[in-house]
Amino acid sequence: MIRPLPPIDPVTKEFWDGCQQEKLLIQKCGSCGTLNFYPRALCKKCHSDHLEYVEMSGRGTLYSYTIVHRAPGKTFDSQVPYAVALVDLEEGPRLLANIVNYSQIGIGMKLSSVFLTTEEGFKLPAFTPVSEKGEEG
Amino acid sequence: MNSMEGCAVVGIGETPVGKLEQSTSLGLHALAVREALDDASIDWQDVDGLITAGSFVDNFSRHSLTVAEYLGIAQQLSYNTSIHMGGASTAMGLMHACMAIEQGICSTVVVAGADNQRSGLRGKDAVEQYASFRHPQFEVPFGLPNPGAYAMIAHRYMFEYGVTSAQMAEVAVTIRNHAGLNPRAVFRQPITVEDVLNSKMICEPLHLLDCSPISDGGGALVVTSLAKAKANGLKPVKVAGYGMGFTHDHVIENPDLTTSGCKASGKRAFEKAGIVPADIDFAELYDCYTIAVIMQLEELGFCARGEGGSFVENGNISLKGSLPVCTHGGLLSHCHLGAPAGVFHLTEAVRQLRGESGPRQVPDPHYGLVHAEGGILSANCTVILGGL
Repeated sequence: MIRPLPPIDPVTKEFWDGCQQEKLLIQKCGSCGTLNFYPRALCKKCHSDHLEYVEMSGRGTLYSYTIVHRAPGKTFDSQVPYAVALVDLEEGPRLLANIVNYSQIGIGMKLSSVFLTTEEGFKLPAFTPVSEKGEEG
Repeated sequence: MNSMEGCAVVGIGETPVGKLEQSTSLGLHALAVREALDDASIDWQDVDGLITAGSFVDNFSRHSLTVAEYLGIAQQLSYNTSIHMGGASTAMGLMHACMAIEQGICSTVVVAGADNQRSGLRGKDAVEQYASFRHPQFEVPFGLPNPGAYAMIAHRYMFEYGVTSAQMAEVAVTIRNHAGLNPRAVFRQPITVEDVLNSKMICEPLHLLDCSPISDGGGALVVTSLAKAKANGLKPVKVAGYGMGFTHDHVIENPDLTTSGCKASGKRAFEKAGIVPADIDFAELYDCYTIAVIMQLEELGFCARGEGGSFVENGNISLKGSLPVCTHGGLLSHCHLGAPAGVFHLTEAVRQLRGESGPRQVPDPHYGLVHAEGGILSANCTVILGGL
């Protein structure tokens, strides 16, 4: 899989390091408890700098999506069609990610996190549908 | 506010639009400004303020000053700035012009928006460039194109309110009909709802004809105080109200995809003008994608929440309807310039209020509304013109 890699910075490094270990780590504010995504230097609610990363369950719900047919540039030309979605984690934060096995995609669909590996060996978060029995679809 | 307070647009200028092979971004600015000054019967030497909307082709870090230098007017300016708020930039530029004049900083301000993204990118692709405006770490790696972000909004909106692809298509069909009455519009051939639904899928649920085409071109406005305009015998169109509003920058941070800062910017503009949506005779809404028009109709209070689709389907936004929208053909069929794109919504609104829009003239309009937004329904500015 060929992807533009994220330009990781000191504030976001722990999130991306988490992905490499197949964990979704999200900043939790030690002062007000808010989960902050994307990562920041200060909590977006109370502006405290007491932020610590906590691991998410990886379970979420599909908030909205699109199937991309016209690629956003050459990198993605050979990959269309593919699904991009906003996913609400059960703990609250909303992430953008690709959906694998998206043939039955729909708003409200239950999802669980997986990780996709780029040709450089970098892992990006993604989601896959969960069946009624709670197994990955 | 008494009748002589506030500001007015006293001149408008437009270049041709479309694919202008020999154009440059700075050159288009110059041509548009000259047209606007000619229209206003104001001399170059009387301009003491200049506001631009930047360029996606040129990379001048002080864009408005580069334009001033190019025009040979830098030394006479007491106010000069660029607004970098995507498609909201020119509407915000008009708001800044009024603020600067009302503060006594300057007296004759030109607001100019021009670019040549269609022919000037030299091998790069506008689609790729727009995709690069997404969040570099948390959006770009997942391959989200600009229409993809609006497609996610459309899907959520369809889910919550039952709007249909055919209702969205009706927006494109109606605005195309208006473009057919504007000789300058890029796309003038009538289309049907079926044409839209059968056009190439770009990002589900948006088809090609739900999206607006990138063009070259430019527009400009000349703004003075209303008192000065009247004293000098100019043909003023009053800037009755304006406002900005925001909920997020990147689409991943919009807490509710079915709403945006449009609601707040509209409320502020109506309050400043002292009028209500029913007083508006036509609206130049930001039709970057068909879904955006449906949402703005609701956010600005022209119809109830969830009723934008049926409002359009019932013919309300056509020239014969209760609220003609994008009377010049909008971004969907007249042209989309990138960041300066909203400039033609402003020039058309002024033209309509002067009664100079020819076959597409709205009968005797008193107030017109312009809404512009940049990003993914991110930066919002509403301007209300008219009321003299």
